[in-house]
Amino acid sequence: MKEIIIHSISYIAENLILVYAIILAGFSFFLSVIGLIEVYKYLINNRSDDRNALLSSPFTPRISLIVPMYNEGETIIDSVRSLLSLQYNNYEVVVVNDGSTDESLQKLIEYFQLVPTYLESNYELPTKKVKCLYKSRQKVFSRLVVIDKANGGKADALNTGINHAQGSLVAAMDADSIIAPEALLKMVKPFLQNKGRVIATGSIIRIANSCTVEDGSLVNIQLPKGWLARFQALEYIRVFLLSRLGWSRLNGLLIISGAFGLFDREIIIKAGGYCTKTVGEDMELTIRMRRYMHEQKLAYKVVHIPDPLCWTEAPTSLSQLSRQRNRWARGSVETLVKHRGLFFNPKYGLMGMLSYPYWLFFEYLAPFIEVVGIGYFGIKAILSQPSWLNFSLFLVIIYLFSVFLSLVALIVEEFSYHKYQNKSDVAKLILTAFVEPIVFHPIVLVNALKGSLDFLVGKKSWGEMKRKGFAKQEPESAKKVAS
Amino acid sequence: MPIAMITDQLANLPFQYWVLAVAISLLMAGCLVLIAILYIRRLVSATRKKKRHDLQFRYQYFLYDALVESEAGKTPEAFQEFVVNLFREEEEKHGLNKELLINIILDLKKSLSGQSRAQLLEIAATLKLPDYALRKLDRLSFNTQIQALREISGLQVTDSAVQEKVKQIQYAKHAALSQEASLTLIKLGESPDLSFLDVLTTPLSQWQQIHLHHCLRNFERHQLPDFSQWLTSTNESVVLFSLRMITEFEQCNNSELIIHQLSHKSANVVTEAIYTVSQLKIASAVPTLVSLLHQPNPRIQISSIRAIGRLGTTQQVPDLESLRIDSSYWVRQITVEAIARLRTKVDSASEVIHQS
Repeated sequence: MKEIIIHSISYIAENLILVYAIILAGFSFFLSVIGLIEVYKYLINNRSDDRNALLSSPFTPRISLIVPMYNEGETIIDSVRSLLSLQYNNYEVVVVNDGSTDESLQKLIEYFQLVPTYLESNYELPTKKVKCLYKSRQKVFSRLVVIDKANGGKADALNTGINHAQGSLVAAMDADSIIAPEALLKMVKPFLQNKGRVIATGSIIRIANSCTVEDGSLVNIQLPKGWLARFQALEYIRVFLLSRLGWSRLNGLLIISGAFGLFDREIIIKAGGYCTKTVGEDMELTIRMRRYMHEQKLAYKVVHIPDPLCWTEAPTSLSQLSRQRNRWARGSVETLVKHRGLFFNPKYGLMGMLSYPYWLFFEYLAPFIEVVGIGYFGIKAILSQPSWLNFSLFLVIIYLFSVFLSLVALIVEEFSYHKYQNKSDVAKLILTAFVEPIVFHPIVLVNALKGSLDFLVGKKSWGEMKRKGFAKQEPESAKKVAS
Repeated sequence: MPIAMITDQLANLPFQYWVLAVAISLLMAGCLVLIAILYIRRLVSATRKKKRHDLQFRYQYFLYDALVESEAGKTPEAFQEFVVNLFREEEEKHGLNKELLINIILDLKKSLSGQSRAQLLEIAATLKLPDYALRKLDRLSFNTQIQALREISGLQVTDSAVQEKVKQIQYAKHAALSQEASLTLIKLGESPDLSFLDVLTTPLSQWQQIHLHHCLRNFERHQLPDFSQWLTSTNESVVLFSLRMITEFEQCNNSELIIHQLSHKSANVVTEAIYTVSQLKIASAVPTLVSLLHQPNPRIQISSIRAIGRLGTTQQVPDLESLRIDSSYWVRQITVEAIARLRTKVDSASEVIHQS
């Protein structure tokens, strides 16, 4: 009798894991195919775009670019200078100093010749106290607004920026993100076309480690030299080019990355702005905006475009990576718990019936299932004769499938934007695709589990992220002196 | 181990192993194919890029060489013949990449004017480049058709048969294609033909409006139609576009009709009309603007405060005063700015009187 019970449990467990793996792989493959179609359609539809018209038009919507700043003294001047020279004629840059303890604000005041403006502050979205609003005396910097406020975290700084934004669209970004000059021109397009109300757009984020940056702009794109950053470069290509685009095509996207996204200001405010009590504020806001639109019974879209318009620095040490992934995992679970009312709720359409359950089962629970699977085999190996052949073949299939998906993403990248042009880059990326599932995946897995446990014990902190900074192009004069 | 034994063992393998083995083989084959595609693509695109680059340099050299010849005192006809012969020789020897040549000519055209520009277009016509562009119009890909339309307008093909063909495309289902056809017709006409606005039933997207405006900017103001004729359109987007064009090209001859738009049922039109009267400085709109100050729609309210700040006098200050304590931050801010602006006007006026 005991044997029958053990055998039944074992049979059910094995089949459940198998079914889970098949559904996950099938859905990943389905998303990849849809993502491919989306990239193809985007390239076809935008190939003949004439952006000159947009560049000089007085009819483009005003965009407020919100840059939350906390101790960014090293890079803030270059970043703001680069943001002030984007290709768009109707925008403002709102830098929100979130109570920096370094000389960031002073540097901005001196460099851009800022003077206080004695306007009252707006608290439409509740935020920490605003100390002062600064504007430049120089006409050439008239697009710049700097807000000094008490420390309240990234979400609070973004809300302050939204309160004081004059644009009908707001772009949220990280202070250390590098935005492509044509980013706003491309991101605004979905808002200008008559294809339903667009409430948010996101773009592909890429890894800028080893790239050369001059005056806050990318001048030379390189594949990261270190393995850890290169793993992340490949991971970003795969996730953004296949998965997110697939979801965008289905209009089921649950996240617009905090590194760079463009939003309809009216909807952000009506939805209540960024949540300051979560570390996953980007995902939480996207879901809340979508919920608001559903509850108001308004048709809408969240669009992701396959253009790589934002470049960011990836963690280069294991400890930094661990902190980042831990935070992402906590952010996801916090958001999923907060919006649990969406779970298979037909009121929220595809978001409730597909996106949320997918995110719960195949993004959040995947590491747990993986560990359970490995644990189950371990127990079986101890208790009885393990079926090594079965297990190995199964592992090989999973491994090959993940390599296959990475290679598909690389093909899409090669046929679309082709950013890594060095001859050796292809070989390096292919090699990375083969190594990543063995080396990088376990690190991500462990930290995702740790993040979920940290959520259970109520950990709330962001964790410090020390930036190494980008390679800078040496000025000619400096080169001469050195030689 | 004898082969027979291995085959025997393989034959006795359970079905599930075979399934797994097939899956692994397929995935491995898939990976290999993808790697091969990656490498072949790199190779092909590098070769293609180099070939195109060389060809571009060669064509540019022909054209610039010819320009030097023309500057050396040759007559325009001789210059033209010289260039055409160069390209014909090239066509006989290696074939002519007409698409690339059109691109180069259109690029060069931007930096030329007068006779040189006309000569360049003549060369294109002699080499039958417009015919090539026209043939592309019949292709199925809308991108190729859009490209063809751009080439047609760039090469200034004003043939009536061509225009007729473009007119048909104007009503194509694909928005980008129909937009490009409209732009081509505008560019080819002596004065812009916007008659499609009369019959337009679908909304004119902001994207289309921006492109139309970009195209209309190249005309002299007297060549432009009176946009107030579309202010009575039932298509809201057409009214919005007309108001924007009225503002942009300062057509204030029909101010009554513009003011009438301030009571339009659409909030978007009202907001745009407020901006128009403010930019065109139509002071007679002020009483209507005052009546809009307490509109529930914040965009209308804010726009009217701003407009009164621009057009009004100190007489409107009491109307604005009550809004200084409005619940909306932006209403309060804009009101303070508007009142300051109205008071500054008075101060500067009295200063002028004092000085005189």
